Amino acid sequence: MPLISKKDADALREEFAAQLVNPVKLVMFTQTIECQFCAETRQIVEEVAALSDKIEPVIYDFVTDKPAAESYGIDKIPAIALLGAKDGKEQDYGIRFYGIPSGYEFATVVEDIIAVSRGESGVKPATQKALAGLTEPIHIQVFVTPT
Amino acid sequence: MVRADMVEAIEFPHLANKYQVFGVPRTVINDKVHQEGAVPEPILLAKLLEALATEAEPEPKKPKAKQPPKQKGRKRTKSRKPAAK
Repeated sequence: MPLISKKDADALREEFAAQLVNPVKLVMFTQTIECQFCAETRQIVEEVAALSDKIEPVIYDFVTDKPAAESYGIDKIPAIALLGAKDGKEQDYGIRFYGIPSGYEFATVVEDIIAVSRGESGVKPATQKALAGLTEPIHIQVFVTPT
Repeated sequence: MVRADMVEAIEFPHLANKYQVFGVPRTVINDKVHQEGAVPEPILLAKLLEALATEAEPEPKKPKAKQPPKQKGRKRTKSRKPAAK
């Protein structure tokens, strides 16, 4: 049974067609015997990817594809890394989702896919300026619950 | 330079515990600066800069801030009186 209703799928298909510019990769990490929300998260990734030919799902096994997990800095599952592209090269904006992006967080994923595809963060110019010269890494973790 | 993670608190209780997540959204920056709730961008920016400022201090790494153990909201065993005979 699909997790995304037909109505939502139709709306998203239209939204993606209108908004997406560059290809986006949804790199998802799961494991063979899938954890509680791994299976559902993978299904969401696959269903979303089916809505636009600009979205490509890539599924990795957290255990057997350890080098890939390490290269994307994935330390827990289910995980989704949102990757963009610029001039044909993969572009990592550092966006990760850990756990199932359901409820309101699903909207966040959709927004992020669009932002990554367009290469626009939506961040205010003042903030961009303040962070442009970063020399130390910043790691932001936003804790949420599916609502 | 910026990594931004969404972490679903229910699936990763050890992290929710570690960062004392009792309400969501809760934003944790570089493991030490916290922000409750969805705040306007300038406030979040100030928090990011605060995290960087603390980073810059040549303070020796503490293993873990030893704070007095806080009453954890989830522990609610034995709050009820023993039932009468």
